[in-house]
Amino acid sequence: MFYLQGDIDEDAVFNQIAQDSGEVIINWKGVTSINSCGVRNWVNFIKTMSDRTIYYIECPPLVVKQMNMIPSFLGTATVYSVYVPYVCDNCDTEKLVLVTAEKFGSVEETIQCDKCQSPEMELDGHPKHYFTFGRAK
Amino acid sequence: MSTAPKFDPNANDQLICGLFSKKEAAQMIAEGGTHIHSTTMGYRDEMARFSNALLNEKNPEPHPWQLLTNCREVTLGSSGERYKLIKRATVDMGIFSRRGYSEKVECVMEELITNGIYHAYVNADGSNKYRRDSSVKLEDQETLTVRYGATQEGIFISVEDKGGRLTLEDIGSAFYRCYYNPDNQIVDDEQGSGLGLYMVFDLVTHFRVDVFPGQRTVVSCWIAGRRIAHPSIFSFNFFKRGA
Repeated sequence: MFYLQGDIDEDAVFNQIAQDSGEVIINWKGVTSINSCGVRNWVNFIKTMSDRTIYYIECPPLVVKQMNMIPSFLGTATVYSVYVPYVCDNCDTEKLVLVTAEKFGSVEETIQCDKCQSPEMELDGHPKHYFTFGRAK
Repeated sequence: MSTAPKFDPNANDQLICGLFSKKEAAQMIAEGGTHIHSTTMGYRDEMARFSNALLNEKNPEPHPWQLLTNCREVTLGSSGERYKLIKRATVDMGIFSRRGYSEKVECVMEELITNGIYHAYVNADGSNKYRRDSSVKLEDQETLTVRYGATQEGIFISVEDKGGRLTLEDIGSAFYRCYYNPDNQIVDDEQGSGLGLYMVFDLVTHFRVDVFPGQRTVVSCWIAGRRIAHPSIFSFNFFKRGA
């Protein structure tokens, strides 16, 4: 498994991933930002891996946004799990909930806030749009 | 692959109102559309009315959201300063702790600043003066002006360069390619593929470009707050001025 960390930008290099053989699992949890140069780097890299079995796991919202905006960001990979962002308008608390692929179509639009117990902690965005990447595959 | 529509420079300066997706708007822009408002209010929409009024004036004034009294203005002189500036802006605007919102704002600011640094200035042969993979110290006459401000309703960001090179045709072509040819979004072109501008347009609520050819370009955006933002409500405005 490969853990990507920090900023994905013009300086990002992914060669180490290509050196590993077999199935590739990429954990995106540690990625803090992605700019257009980073997107370009990643898409060009993932194209060279089209004959491999790749899984994306623990994709934070900023990675999900890229997968939705830039379909080729996903390449031939399968998304196994993503973090879904929730916001409580009552106490401003934010929470990321890890959701696996089998639940992409049935994600809760509201959950209970752990901090203020409000039952109206809302999904930050539109569920239909958040999982656009799933429909593109 | 979808073929880009023919760009019509005479389509300029017409206000188009309706309820569109950004993908549909991209097609209109690629055809030469300059003022596109997606709204449930049609031509009665406040922003659309404002754009319409601006169209009838020689020197358009800022949109209302560009007149924030608490707007900050920062001069940026090198590529290395941008990350510090972006972090400072999210703190100044009080959104540092709002992860989802701050990620969006950081992405928009970074792409606008990066475009300003690397694509606003050219050599005599028309090639970009600065390479994307290089650290850049801008000359005094090239510095960028970054403005930002926040209200309860949303966030305003603008980046002004002193190149004045951005064209509607370039924007339309990039948007069209990114929305209609997703497998061809990434173009390995040192001149820039417009991917950053597409990302900005896709993320923001209102997107406005003012170009003073050969003098300066101002790209300004409004990002509506979470409770207000709706993907169907957005606008695109392109003003070519002083031509």
